[in-house]
Amino acid sequence: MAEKMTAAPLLRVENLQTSFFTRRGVAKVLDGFDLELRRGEILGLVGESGSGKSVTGYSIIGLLKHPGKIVGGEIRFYGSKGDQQGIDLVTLPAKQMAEVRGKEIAMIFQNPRSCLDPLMSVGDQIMEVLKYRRGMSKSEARAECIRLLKTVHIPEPERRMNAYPHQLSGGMAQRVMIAMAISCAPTLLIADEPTTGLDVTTEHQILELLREMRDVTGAGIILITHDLNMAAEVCDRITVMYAGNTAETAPVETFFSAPRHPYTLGLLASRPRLGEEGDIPTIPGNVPDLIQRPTGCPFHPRCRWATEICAAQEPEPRVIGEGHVVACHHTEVVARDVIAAD
Amino acid sequence: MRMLRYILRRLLFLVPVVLGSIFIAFLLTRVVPGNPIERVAGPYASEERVLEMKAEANLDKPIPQQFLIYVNDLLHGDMGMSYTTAQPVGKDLKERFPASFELVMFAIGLAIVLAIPLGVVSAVKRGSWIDHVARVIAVAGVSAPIFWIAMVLLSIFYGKLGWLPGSQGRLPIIMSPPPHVTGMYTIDALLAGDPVTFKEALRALILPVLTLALVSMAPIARMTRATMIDALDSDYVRTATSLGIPRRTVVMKHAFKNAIIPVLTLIAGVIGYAIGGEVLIELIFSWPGLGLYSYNAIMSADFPAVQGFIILATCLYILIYLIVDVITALLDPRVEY
Amino acid sequence: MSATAAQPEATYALRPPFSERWRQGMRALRANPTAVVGLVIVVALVLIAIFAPVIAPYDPQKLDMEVVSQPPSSAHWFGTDQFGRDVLSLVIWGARLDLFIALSAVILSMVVGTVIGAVSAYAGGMTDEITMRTMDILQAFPRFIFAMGIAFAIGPGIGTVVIATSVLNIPGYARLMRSVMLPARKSQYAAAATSVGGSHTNVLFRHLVPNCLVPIFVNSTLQFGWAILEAAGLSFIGLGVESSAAEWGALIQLGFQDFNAGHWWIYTFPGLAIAVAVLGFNLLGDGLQDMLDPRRQ
Repeated sequence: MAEKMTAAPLLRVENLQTSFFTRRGVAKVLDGFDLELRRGEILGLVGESGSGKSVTGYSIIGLLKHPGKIVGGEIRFYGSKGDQQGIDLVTLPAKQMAEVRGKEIAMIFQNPRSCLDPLMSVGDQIMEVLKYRRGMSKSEARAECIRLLKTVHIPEPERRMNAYPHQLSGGMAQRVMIAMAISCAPTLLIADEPTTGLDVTTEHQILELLREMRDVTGAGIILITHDLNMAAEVCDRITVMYAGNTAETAPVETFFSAPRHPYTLGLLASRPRLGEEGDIPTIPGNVPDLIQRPTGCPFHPRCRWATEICAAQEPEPRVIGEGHVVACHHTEVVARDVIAAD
Repeated sequence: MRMLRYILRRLLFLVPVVLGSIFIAFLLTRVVPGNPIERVAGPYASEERVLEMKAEANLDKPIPQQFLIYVNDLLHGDMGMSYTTAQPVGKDLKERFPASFELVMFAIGLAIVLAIPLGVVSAVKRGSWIDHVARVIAVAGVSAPIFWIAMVLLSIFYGKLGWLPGSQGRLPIIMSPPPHVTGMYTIDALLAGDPVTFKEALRALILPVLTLALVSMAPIARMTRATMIDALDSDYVRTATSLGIPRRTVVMKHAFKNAIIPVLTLIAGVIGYAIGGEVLIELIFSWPGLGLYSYNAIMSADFPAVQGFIILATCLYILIYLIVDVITALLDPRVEY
Repeated sequence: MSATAAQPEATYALRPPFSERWRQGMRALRANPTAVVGLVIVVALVLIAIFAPVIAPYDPQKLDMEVVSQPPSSAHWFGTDQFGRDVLSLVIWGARLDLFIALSAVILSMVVGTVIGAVSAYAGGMTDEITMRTMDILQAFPRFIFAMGIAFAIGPGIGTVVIATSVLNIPGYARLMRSVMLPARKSQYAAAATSVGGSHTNVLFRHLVPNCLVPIFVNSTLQFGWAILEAAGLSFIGLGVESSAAEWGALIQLGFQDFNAGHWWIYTFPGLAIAVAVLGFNLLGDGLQDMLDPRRQ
C-alpha cells in the first residue's frame, strides 16, 4: 500500500445529482452525493440495492441510459495527464468523454458472461479494444492479448483466446472482462458487483485479482457492492450510500471498529456472519421512494435515533476523525449509545 | 465437413415433415366432393371413357394404395399428368418456376435491402422522424391486402400515369423472350446482350416486385427494429461502449450482428408468405408463374397440378428454412453443429 | 441501474391477481395512444357491423340499372358497382360478413388449438411428441397456399373460408397453449387441485385453462387481422363467399373484373375498409401485448 502515501486525489465527486425522468415522475436517484478516491486506492461503495451505487458508477463513466440524466454537481477527474485542475466529467463534451472511456476510466459489470459479445471469440474482443484504443496492428494486438490474459491468470491463453463467451465459466468471463478493462491501463477502474453470480471460491479469486491489478497498475478502484464482508476483504476505505446520499465514509479499520451512522450500524448488524445462528436483524422499513423523497435526512423514517430535526433538515457531512466523515445530526448520541452497548 | 454432417442431419430431420406435407397435400385433393374426372371429361363423355380415365389416374383404387402409388411416382420424379395442360406436372412446374423465382427474388431482395437499414436506423434513432416513417410502413404493409395494393399501384402507374406496363405478363405481347439460359428474362436478356428486352422485362417486373416487396418489408423492418433495440440495450454493447470502441463499430459489429440472427429466421417466414402472395399477384399481373398455374389448376380441379404445386411450395419453404438454419449455425457459435 | 432498480426484481416472480393486472392494463392503455386508436377502430367496426341495416343508405343487394358503375356522387358516396348496387352500403354490410367470418375463424382455431395444446402439454410423452410434430408439418406449409388447398378441397362458401382460415392458426394456438401450460402444470394450481381429489379432466379444464387464457386472448386480437386478410384473399380468387355477396374481398374481385374500365371506386373503398380493420386489430393487439408482457413495460 505504498500508493496510499502519495494520497493524490484521482476523483472527486461533489454534490452529484442524477435523476431519472420516468412516467411516474422524476426519480432523484443521486441527490447531492459526494465521494473521493485517491490514486492506487480501493474504495468500497456499499448500500442496499436501490441506493444508487450503480448509477454512481454509470454517472462517472458517462454510460447513463435514457431516461437518466446528471442534473447537477461535479465529477472532477485528475487522470493520468497529471492535470492539477482535473477535468469535470459532467460538462465534458461527448467526444472527449468517449476518449476518456476505456483509456482513462474502465468499468467491469455483474453477470460477466452477458457482458461479452456472444458472437465473437474473447481474443477478438480484446484485440478489438487494442486495435481501436491503442492503435495496435494485428500481430501486436495478438501478443498483447496473450500477455493480458496471462496477467489475469487465464491458463493456456493461446487456446482460450479462441473460446466464445458461452464456453467460459462466469469467473473466466470476469477475468476476460478485467483483461479488457486494464488493456489501456486506465487510472480509474469501476467494478460494479463484479462477483454477482459467482461461487465463493471464484469470488475470492476475482477480488484477489482486482487487488493485484491495483498493485500492478496503480489504478484507483471503486468497488460497488452490497456485501460488507467483501468490502472488508479488499477495500482501503468504505463509503456508505443511502438513497443517493453519502451516509458515512471511513478507512476500513475505523469503519468496522467505530461506525457512527445509524444506517451503517444497521448494515453491519444485518450482514450474515459465519458460524452464527439465529435470525439476522434487518433494518426495518424499505428504501424510500425516490420520486417522493422524505424530507430532511432520507434515512429518518427508518432510524431509531431520529428526532424532529432529522425530518426537517438534511444533515451536513461532518469530519469526526481521521478520514471519517458522517452525515448525521446525532453522531454524538449514536456514538455514546454504541459505546455503551459494547 | 462438420457443416456437411449438420446439413445432412437437418435434412434427415426434415424427411418426416416433407412426407407429412405430401400426405396432407394428397389428402386435400382426395376429399373433394364430386369426381374430378367427371368434371374433366365433361358432360358428354361416355361412361366407359370416364371409367377408363379413372383407371388411368388410379382413382379407382382404395385411397391408401393411391397414396403409395403417388409417393412411389414422386420418388421417380413423376408428379402425374396435368388434366388441363396435358403435360407432366413436373414439366409444367419447371417451366413456370423461373418466372416466379425472378419475381420473388427481386422482391425479397428489395425488401431486405430497404427494410433492414430502415429497421436499424429507426432503432438507433428511436423517436426520430425516420423511426415514425418506418413504423407507418410496417403497420401499413401488414394491414392492406396484397392484391388491393397491386391494383392501386397498377391503377396509378399504368392507368393514370401510363409510366409502366399494365397486366401484361413478363413482356409486351409483341416481344419474344430472350434465349433461355436461366429462364429469368432480365438475366437472360443481359446475357444475350439485348438491352431492349432487358428494359421491357425490368419494366414489367417493377409493379409486381414493388407490391410484394412492400408487403414483405413490413415484418422485416419491424423485427429488425425490435432486435436491434434489444441488442443496443444489451450488456455487451454497454461493455464495448465503456471501453471507448467507436459508436459505428459498436452498432454495426456488435449490435447489428447479434440483431440480424433472429431476423434471418423471420425472412424465411416472409418468403413463405410471399410464395402465398404470389398467387394473388400473378393473377393480377397475368404473370405466367407458379401462382397463376396453381390458380388455374384449382379453378379447373386439376388434382395432380394442385398437388404438385403444394408439394413444391412446401419443399421450397422447407429448403429456405434449412438455408437459414445453416447460415445461423455459421454466424452463431452457440449453435452446436 | 434504472429507477426501477429501487423495486426489487422479485415483483415479477409473483403474478398479481387478474383484477390488479387489469387495472394496470387500463392505466397502460391510457399511456399507449396507438392501442387506443386500435380500440376505437375495432369498436367502431363492431358498431357498424351491428347497425349495418340502420346505417347503410341503400339495400346492398338492390340492383339499379339506372345507376350502373357510377363514380362517387352525393347520392352514392362510394359510387355504384356494375349492377348498380351502392358501394357504400356494400362496404357497410361487408363489415358484418367479414367480422363474422374472422370471428368464427378465430374462435374455431382458438378452441381446437387450445384443446390440442392443453391436452398435449398435460399428457406429455409420446402424445405430446406426435402432436407437436404434426403441428410442425402444418406450419411447414406456406399459409395462403394451404388455405387455398383446403378451400379447393371443400368447395367455396362461407364455411369454407372459416375453416380454411382457421386450420393454419391451430398450430399457433396449440404451441402457445402448450408453452403456458407446461410451467403452469407444475405450479400450485394443479398440485392443489389434484391433492383435494380433482379428476384430471377437471384439473385441466377448470383450473389450468383459465389461467392461460390471457396470452391466448391477446394473440387472438392479432389473429383477427390475419383472418380478415386471408378470408378476403380467398374470396378474391373465388374460393370464398359467392361473388355477389357483400364481402370486402369479393367486392375487390368485382372491381378487378372492371379494372381496365377505370372504375377505381369499386375496389378502392372495400380495400381501404380491409386495411383500416386489420390496422385496428393489429394496433390493439400490439398494444395489449405490450401491456401484458412485464418485460416490455
